Amino acid sequence: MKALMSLGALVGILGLLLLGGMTLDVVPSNTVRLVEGYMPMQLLFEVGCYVLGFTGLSYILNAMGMAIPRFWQGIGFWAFFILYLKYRVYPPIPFSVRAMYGTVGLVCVFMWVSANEEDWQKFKQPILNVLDAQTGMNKMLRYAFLALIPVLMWGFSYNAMMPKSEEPIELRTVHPAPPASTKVHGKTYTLQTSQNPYRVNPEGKYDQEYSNANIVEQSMGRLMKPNANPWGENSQGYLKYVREGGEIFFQNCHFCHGDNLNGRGLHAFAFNPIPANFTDPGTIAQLQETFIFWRVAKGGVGLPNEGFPWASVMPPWEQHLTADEMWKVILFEYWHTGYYPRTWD
Amino acid sequence: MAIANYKMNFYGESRLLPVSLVMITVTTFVMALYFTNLSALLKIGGMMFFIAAFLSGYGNWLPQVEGGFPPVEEKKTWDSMTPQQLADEGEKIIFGGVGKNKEQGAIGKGQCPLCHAFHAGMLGERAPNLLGLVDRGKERIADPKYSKDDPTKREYSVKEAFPGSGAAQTSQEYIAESHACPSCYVVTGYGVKGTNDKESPMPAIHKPPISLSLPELAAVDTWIYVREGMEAPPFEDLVKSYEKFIPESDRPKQAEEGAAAGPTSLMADGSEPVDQIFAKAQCVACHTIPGIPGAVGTIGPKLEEGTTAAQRIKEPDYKGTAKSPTEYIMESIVDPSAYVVKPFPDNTMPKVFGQKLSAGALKKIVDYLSQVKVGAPPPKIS
Amino acid sequence: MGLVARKKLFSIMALGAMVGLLLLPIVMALPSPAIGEEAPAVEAGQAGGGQKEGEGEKVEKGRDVYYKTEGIVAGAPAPKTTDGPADYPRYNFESRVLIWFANQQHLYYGSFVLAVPIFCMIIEFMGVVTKDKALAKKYDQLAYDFIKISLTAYSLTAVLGGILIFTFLTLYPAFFSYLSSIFRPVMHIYALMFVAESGTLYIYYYGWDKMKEGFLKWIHLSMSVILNIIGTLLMFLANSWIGFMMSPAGVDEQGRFLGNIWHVIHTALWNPLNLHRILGNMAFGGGVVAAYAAYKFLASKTDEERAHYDWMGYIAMALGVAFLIPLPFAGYWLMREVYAYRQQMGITLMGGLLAWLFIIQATMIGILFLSTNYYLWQAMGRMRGAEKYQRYIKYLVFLLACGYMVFITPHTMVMTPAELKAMGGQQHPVLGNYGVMSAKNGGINVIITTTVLSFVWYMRGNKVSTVSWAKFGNIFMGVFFACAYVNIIWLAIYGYYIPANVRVGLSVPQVATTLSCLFFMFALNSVMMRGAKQMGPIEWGKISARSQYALIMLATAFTWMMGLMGYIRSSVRLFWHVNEIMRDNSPWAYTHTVGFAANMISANVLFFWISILFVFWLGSLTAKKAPVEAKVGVPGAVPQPAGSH
Repeated sequence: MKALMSLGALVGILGLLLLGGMTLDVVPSNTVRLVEGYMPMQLLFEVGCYVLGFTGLSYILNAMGMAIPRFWQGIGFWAFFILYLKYRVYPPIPFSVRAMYGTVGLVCVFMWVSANEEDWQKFKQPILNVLDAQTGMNKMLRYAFLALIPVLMWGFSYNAMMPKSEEPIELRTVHPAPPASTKVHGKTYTLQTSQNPYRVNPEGKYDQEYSNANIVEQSMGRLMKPNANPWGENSQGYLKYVREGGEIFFQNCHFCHGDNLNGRGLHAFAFNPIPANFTDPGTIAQLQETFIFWRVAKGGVGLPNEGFPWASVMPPWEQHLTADEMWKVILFEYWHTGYYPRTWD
Repeated sequence: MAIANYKMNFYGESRLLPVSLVMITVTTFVMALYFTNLSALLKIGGMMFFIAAFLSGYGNWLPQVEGGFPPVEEKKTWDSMTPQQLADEGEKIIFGGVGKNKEQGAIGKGQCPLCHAFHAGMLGERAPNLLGLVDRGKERIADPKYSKDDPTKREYSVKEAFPGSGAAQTSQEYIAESHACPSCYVVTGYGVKGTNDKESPMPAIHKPPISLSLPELAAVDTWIYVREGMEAPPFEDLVKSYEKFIPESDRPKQAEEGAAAGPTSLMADGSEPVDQIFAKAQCVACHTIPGIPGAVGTIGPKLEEGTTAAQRIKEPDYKGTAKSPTEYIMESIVDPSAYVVKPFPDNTMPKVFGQKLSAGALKKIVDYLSQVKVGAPPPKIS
Repeated sequence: MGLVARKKLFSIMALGAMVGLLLLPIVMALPSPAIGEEAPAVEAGQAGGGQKEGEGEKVEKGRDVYYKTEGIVAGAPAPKTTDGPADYPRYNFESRVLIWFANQQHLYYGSFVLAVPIFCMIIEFMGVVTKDKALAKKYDQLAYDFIKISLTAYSLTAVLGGILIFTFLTLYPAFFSYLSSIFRPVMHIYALMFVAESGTLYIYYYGWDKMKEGFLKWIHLSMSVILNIIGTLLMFLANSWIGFMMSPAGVDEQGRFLGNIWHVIHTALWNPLNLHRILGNMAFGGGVVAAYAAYKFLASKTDEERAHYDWMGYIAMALGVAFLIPLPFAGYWLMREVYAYRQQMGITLMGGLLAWLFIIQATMIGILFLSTNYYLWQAMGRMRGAEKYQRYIKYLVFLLACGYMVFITPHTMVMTPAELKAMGGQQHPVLGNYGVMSAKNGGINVIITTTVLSFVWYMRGNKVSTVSWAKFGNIFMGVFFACAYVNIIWLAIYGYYIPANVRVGLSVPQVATTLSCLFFMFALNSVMMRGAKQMGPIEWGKISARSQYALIMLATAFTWMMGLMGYIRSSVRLFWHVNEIMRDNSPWAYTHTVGFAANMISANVLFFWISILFVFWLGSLTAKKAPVEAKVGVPGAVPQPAGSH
């Protein structure tokens, strides 16, 4: 047990040092890299390590006779957590999310320190000491709080009421609800039922399984499947359409959406929001093809209000491409990123 | 103060809300210290208030988006309808309503049931029964008399829908051609009497008075397919098949919403001159009417009621109730089976004219026909 | 025949007669919708039959918008309303808010009076089968106390129902006349069934004492079952109206009724709503009773009272949470049905305009489960022998915290444009992954499994297993839970690597894992605890005050949650009174902001709790005499709770 806890303590000290460094900007955030593809679990793992480290540290200190009072344990834990969120995670997490996490953290710390009566008494003790103010030190603290709390309230109110020059928060809906149907070049497409006319098997019938079998692999290398090279000499049907879509993509789309389709094109950072990253599992991987067709055809100006049409620079491609060209480009995008379009069956 | 603040800002944002929230909660707990008999109540009330207000605050802290007002109601357009909806529209055009296709006397804007039968076992003397039309279309174009490769070799009164249009190559095109140019091919036995089946009594449907537009014709055809359980060609293909036979200048403009016939809409309302009434009610398809151009039908008697009406009333087997020629004419229109002139068959003249013609239109018809005398020049059109 | 046997026979006959009389109105009413359907069909058959002469019956047919069958039009089309005093008469106030208020209060009370009889049924049953006589008596008394509270609430429900109908009639005449023209027989049956419900309820309550023993007790229990069946049917009928408004069926595109009353009742969302609402009612009812117990606990003056109300609170919470656990799955089913019915409606709910309401809902679900866990840990604090679990509580907190934080991470984060730029895009590369369903399913299942674990610890808190295979059993349970966690988390991660339509199905194994933890571990635990050695008693009444606040938190959260989900259900119709059939042309056809909705919900919640306090106070008026009697009566025996017969 002692060995385990010592290990934990070591982890804890290391974590403390690292975080302290990151907070004070001495150590850059990516010292311990967030590994691409594992990041969400890595985050949870790190927090887990940190809990174990904390436990270990407390245990060792307790064994050494230098126990930290429950009160400070709780506060310290919570403070560490908030600093972790602010300084370790990169790119920076927006304040609103940190506020939510911080509140949850606070509630959970409260649950921990008040889980049983004994702990709760231990936790309350320092507060009660200050309130009762029997010693000189506590008396001073009490006076300090008496002065400090109104000051804080004043500061908080002042901050809240002061007009700021920052742009206000906007809550853009990234995936607004699509309309039931859309009219492109005089033809109406019912979005629930229309299909990509180029997602066909060698018999010419719409066949998602066939196309899914020929897309790029999802692994790190994103390799082409064998015998499924759109740029091969004899490629016909689906693969040929992919190639044609690719040509259209590189003539029109890659300037913003990037040649790796990851939203890092030449012009990408001139815009806010930046162009969509198709390799992200939250974009085309989650959507139906007809939704994408609607977006490509109608562009930013065709967004409903909750999608912030004024903020998007996506051109309405129906003004430059035919419907067939748009379907082929979409075909290419799915092929290149290795995602399946979303279906309902 | 806090409550007043909250009340004033019921609809709007309030930045001081968290402060008032905390204040009220603290107040209740402090009160609980003093009012000990109510302390549990106060503490619980304070706690509940805190939770509810916290959640309220959470809701107000999030950026607020108000859902906009609903869009203006959109009209249904032809090309956005599903096949079933198109078929329903087609049924409305043919029969005047969805589900009416078996109903006696149901006639819609297209007026097809006046002459055509649609169900098995129902004979049509005036026009072929349209059950199984899609399959039969294939046979028809294979008929050497149809001459699908070279319509100029046809023997019918009209060679092509319009010069250069060509003949139908598919069953659907045959159906389209039959609407646009009925006399381009006449099914044996259904020609105008005396023309040796070279001329069809069917009017061109895209022309007045029926004037179905191309989308409406496509809807009609969709019903023809769907009702037999077949998959109808897509809307665009149907319209294309009509475009082959109807030049652009002849295509009727899309009618306004509401022009689609309901079951009670009139064929003629009496405001038009009587020759148009005869044309709209399709009397001309079956009757010869002196003085009315195009009225050369031979399915029913020649209408010279100025002379014949009085004679008919006096016939021994006359069982109707008319006492005068005008009454007789009226009776013949609204209740054709009251007395059937020999040798013409009963149950051939539609019985719906009583509902489909306004009183004014009927009066004009009666007035005109009662002035038509055998051997005399026809009366003036009014 | 002996006297007893004759009494039995007589009582069965009387019961049968009662039930029959009560159900008579319904039985009589049932044939008419059926007949109503057939008559026009017969006429149409004759008409279409084929007389060439004479007029046929002018029947028009329409196509059912949902079932796609053809039916004969038997009603007027949905009215096209216009903004004005004819269709939307109003006070100088938003009518919609008034309906909202009346509806919500009616629903709160209705939910309460439907839940309490189910509680009573379960508790009375436990009272009958428990071998421990004293405990059985306690259970029976508890059930009696519950039903007493329910009676006042019952009349208030009816009053609020009347207010609601009047509000509908006066403020939305066009809509209500349309709806009632379609649901005419349903509404009549609904009203008549209240006769049955009231009758059964009164006999059940007033006959409690007379039917206390033996055979009559079983009759009494059966009455509770009947009461619940009637109540549930009532709710199902009311649900049909809402289901129709959201996902109409049985009418054609213009809204004309096509004669098949079953179609208008059995809409696409009817059954998901039914299931969700039954479970929700129970959870809510549990919360209200638990709050009542908490209040009484905190106001108690004596130890016996505290003990009694601690126990009552525990039972109420246990029942409420028992029905809370399947609730997320019922909700998931409801959402899937919404998506299947109209994809757009589904996207509006979770991806579009109403998406933030679902984040608030996620927050509240977390609050519910965290409060439950907290209460259970506090409860373990009053069990001598449960100390061994205390040190592991922080790890449970950790699991709950992680699950909770993943669960509430929004997909679209609220951020300033500066933060957006710093993030390099709308999606945070790490947190963006928490924002999607795959992670959230994992998060909530972790939370629920942890709750199950807390429960298991509570149930074995002060006991040590004495079965021969105890050690093996403990290891098995530990490993089972560990594997459950691993499985849930692994499935959550796996979800990212598969197409969406497969991923949606992943919730099934996750749910199966959680539910199997629930069932198997509870079963195993109870087997292991047979004849277990008690390390110390459960010291009822010694629980901390914080636990009672946790119960209050639970109750308030349930109430708020009900208000929130009801708001979501109502506003997803956007600008339709009846989805795609009858348009809302009132001046309030827009969707309110989240903040406004939150304010309204809070107001509703607080109003409900103030009014139910009044109800509790009324209930306590009759009970004032009892405590004096009980103390004088049998000292040293099981404490008689306040409120005797």
